[in-house]
Amino acid sequence: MLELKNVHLSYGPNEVLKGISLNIGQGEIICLLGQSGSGKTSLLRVIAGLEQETQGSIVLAGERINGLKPQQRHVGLMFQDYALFPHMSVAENIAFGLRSGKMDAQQVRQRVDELLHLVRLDGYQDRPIDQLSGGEQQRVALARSLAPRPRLLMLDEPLGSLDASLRETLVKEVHDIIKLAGLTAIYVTHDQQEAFVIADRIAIMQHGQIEQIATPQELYYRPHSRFVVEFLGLHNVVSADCEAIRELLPDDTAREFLIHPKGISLADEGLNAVVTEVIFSGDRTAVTVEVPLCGSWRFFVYDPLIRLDVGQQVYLHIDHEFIIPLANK
Amino acid sequence: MKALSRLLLVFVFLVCVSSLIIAQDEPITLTVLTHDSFNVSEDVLAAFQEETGIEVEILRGGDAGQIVNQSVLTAGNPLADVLYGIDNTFLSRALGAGIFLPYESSLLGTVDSRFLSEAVDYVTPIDYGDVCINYDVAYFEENELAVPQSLAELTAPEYEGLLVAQNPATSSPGLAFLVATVSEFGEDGDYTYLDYWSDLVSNDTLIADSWSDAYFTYFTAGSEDGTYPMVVSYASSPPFTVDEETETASTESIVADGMCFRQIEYVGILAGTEKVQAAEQFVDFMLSEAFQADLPLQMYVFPVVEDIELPELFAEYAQIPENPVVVDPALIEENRENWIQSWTETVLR
Amino acid sequence: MNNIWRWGRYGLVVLPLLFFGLFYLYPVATIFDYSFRADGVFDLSGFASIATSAYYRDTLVFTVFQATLSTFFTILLVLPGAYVFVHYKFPGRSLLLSMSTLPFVLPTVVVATAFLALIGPRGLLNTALMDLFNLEAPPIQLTHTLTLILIVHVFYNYSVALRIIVAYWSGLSSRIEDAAAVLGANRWQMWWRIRLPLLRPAIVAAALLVFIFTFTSFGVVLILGGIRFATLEVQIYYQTINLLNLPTAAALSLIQILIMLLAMLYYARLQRQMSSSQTVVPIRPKSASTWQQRLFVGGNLFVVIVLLLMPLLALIVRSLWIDGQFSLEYYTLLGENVRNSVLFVPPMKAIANSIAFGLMTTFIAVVMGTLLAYLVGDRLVNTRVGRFIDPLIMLPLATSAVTLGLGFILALDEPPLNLRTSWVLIPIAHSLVATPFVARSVLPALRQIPPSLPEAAQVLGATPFRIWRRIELPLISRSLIVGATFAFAISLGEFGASVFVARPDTPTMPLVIYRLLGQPGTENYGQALAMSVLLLLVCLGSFLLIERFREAGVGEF
Repeated sequence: MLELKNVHLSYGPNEVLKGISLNIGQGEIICLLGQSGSGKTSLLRVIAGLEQETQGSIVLAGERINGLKPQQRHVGLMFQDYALFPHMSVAENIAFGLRSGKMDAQQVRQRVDELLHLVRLDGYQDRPIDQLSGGEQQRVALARSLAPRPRLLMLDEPLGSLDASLRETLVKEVHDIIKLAGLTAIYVTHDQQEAFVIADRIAIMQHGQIEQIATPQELYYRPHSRFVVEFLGLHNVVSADCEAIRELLPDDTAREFLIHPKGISLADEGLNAVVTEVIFSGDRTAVTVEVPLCGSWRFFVYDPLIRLDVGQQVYLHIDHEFIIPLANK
Repeated sequence: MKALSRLLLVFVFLVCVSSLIIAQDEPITLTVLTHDSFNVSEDVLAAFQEETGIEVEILRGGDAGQIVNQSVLTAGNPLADVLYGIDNTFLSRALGAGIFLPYESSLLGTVDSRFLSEAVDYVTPIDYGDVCINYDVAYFEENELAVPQSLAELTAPEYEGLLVAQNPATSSPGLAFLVATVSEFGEDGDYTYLDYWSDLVSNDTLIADSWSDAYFTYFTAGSEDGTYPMVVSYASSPPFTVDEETETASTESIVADGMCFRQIEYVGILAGTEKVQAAEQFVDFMLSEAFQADLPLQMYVFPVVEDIELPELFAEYAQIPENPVVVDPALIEENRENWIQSWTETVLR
Repeated sequence: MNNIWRWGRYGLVVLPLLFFGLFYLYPVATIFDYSFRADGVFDLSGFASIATSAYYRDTLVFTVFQATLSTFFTILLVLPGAYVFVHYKFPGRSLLLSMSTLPFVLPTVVVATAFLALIGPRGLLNTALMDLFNLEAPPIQLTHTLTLILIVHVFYNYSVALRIIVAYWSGLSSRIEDAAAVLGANRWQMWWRIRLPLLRPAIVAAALLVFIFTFTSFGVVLILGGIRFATLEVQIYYQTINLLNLPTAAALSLIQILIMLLAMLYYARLQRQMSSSQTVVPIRPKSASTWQQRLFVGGNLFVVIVLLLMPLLALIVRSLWIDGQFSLEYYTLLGENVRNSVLFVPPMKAIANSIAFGLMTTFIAVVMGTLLAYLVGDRLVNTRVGRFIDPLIMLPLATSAVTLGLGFILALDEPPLNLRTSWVLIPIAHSLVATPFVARSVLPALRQIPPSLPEAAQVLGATPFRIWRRIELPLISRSLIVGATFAFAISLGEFGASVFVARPDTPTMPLVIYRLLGQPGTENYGQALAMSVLLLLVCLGSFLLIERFREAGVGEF
């Protein structure tokens, strides 16, 4: 559906995108995940035509769209600040993209009603924008980008300015709406929870490059690099020199490995470690241990009956399935 | 949104219409640029209009100096077709700027030869008047003041705060009076015209911007609020102040030797006019008996055409100085700016 | 289509630059040229005559002197007023504060006429006193005095200075005065050691602005000053219109431009410095409680009202009150074209002219001002030219209208721009004065539009024109209305440039008023009054419109 090949973007000497290549299938939701400044938003702007790529090709539905004006690309873009037109009503905002087409007033009204129903804002047609709550504005912005039936929908941190509790419920809603509409979408966020909920595949971005692109499960259990590991908050990176687990390590040229928390469990014998921190958080307990010469690891204990104290000696079992070689720098 | 576009349309329409209003106002008749003191009897002008079919518009452009300057600034694309009211103190500036088309009226032969010079190739003399000091007779009688008989006397203490004169930069009688003082006191020596003017100013002489301001605002006989019983005006002004009941004029001119300067007013056809023929007809009209005879009581000046019968009132009260100051026009041309400049720097400080 | 738009955009950039280049820079450059070589050869005689002449030196000294005095008295009067506005609540407070736009829209000729109607020899005050005490002559003799000029200058600048100082003062922390009071500062010390030093930036800025305005005072001095008092502006006018001494006029203009440029640059710097102060604990105005406070507040309000409203009221009353009874005679006279009138056309025609010129000016100024605002806001072409053009926008304000008029006369006299005698010069001159006001109104509104709005519209398929028409235009429309009204009011009242370039057959209202005032006789005076009232009403209407549409923070002055 969308095919990016070696897309570069520079502002003078400052290279913002350094060769992005990406394929997105029909009906797929891709999530661009990364810290601010990683180039996520720039990539969206290049695809939308708001920035002119310095190099590379963009093919949308078999059509090369490099050099086309944004208004000729028929893509949807939902801005982080929603960019709702403050001088128009809800209905006028949603209808804005429809007027450029060849619909009569009756059809426009029908489509607006349809979309308002989709985002569950029935009856909001004549509301002025400044009287909407943040969540309502977000949904109007979504409806507005959906209205002209774009070939590709892009959402730039659509929930970024909302508070956490609202975000949780809305992210599922946005997911369902996109899937219901059968749209291909690119979703930009810096929040991995959001990404996991919404994405078919996640692309981790750093310094204008894609570090790894994979399904959420694959990403979580098979991270490629130390950056991805740290970005996902997985911690337990060990060096290939680590004596204690030398024999467990797979035969690999990698110099660093991730001991995935999922692969660490308490055992009656095995690897010797000392508990340094215990954090109880309801359904699980995060345990940090110090493994001699191999640094400190963190894993989770799900059995509420197990009690651990700081300083206690424990034995660990490592499932070698969960020892993941990381790419060399 | 619709309302805004409609508003915009209405606005653009208004702009277009207003351009039309102004644009179609180009004079369709003969326009005469003249000074603020111009006047003519309705019936005299009406007769001309009837006879020739030429509508005449009078455009008063301020003081004589200002209308000349305006004409110089608009040379080639004039404000009017005819310029009337340029006098011998400003004539050379206009001739130098080439603002006039040459025209010699067939009626020039009727003009008193004293008023003819080589300038008549371009301009035609119409009238003359002597710039003299006028005084309020009643004031001088009540205060038992002697009427000054020379310019020098005006600086005497008994005349302190009694005279109003005009700024020569902005008023043509003002300039004429300045020329008279230059002629009387000279530019060099122990006591120059500038020393004289300093003394006049020390003696609380008021300087007004224009003749009409001086006469109608500050002169006791010209305005109820006036407080100055002497004013620089014309020897032909007193008929204007004749009381119909008592048949006496409340003012008189001082026509003593060396106190008056003779001003000749000319008319010329402005280069750039498209109505040359009508303009020529108008110049001829100004030399006609009807206009010449109308001049005295309308503008209080003397006609230049010989043997015009003066109105009784005028003949009786208007005075003609025997020996007005005569200054070579070339000398005036050469020094006018200089005199005005020096005067300004001395008097208006 | 894309190319048309791209090139069209550059065309839109060129348009205002061409306009300013042709009708501002070129005339001003001609003045420069003229003052150095009037007859084609390098010649400093214009400057020499100025440098060596005590007369011109006096003009310069007088210009500075009267501007300094005007500034001093304005600030002296404004400080207690500002104290009252900052510290006390009273009815009409915000209305009085908003009056600071009034001087921009009140024509000088109207104000001059208004003061003549109040304290002139035939003014209300004098006639009343004469009736009351059976006096022969008017007791108040202020015509052609420096006092009268100063009074009018204070009238003009009081509200402007008040607004600047009050705005700054309100932003200062109330804790400072509290602390000083706790430390035992008495009333004197409070003013000398606390308030004045704290307010210094605002006082200097206000004083500089007042100085700029009064330094270039033209109409007020020309009408009320008589020939003895001439500012540089008036001198330039005399040298041109009365003496046709163009080299000297050009040299004087040059001096004026340079002085004004320095002052404007300094002012721009001060303005940047001032914008930094804001506090979390501002001084909150409270109601006056003790009788001393009430007296103080009342006294200051009395000054404001007497100063600002009395002359305008006197003007209206005097135009209707003829020989002890109300009459519309002066107004009906306006419709008549008397053959021996000094006016070429009936005065009513001047009203039509003024409105026509006003509309044309509004049109030109709105187009040019909006384009300039886009250019400066970097919205038209994505470059950095904006920051260079930004200060240039204010240049026509630094150049006096009289200089502009002189520049037109000197520069626009040859084909293909032989406009010297065309009425077109009037709306063009007015537009030059008005365009900065439009640009200054539109720019902040434009800057408030987040870039994502037009981008969102673009992604939704809108063409650049549709984005402008549907998104940007509606969002700047309020500011546009403010700017347009400013332009209209400025055009209506403009005097300095008009007096140079207007032909007698197309006079504007201020010119007719000036011409009538210069003529003797009650009827002329009466017509001048009536005409002034009409002009005043239109300008007050414009002022109300501006205040109605002006949002807080809109308009960078």
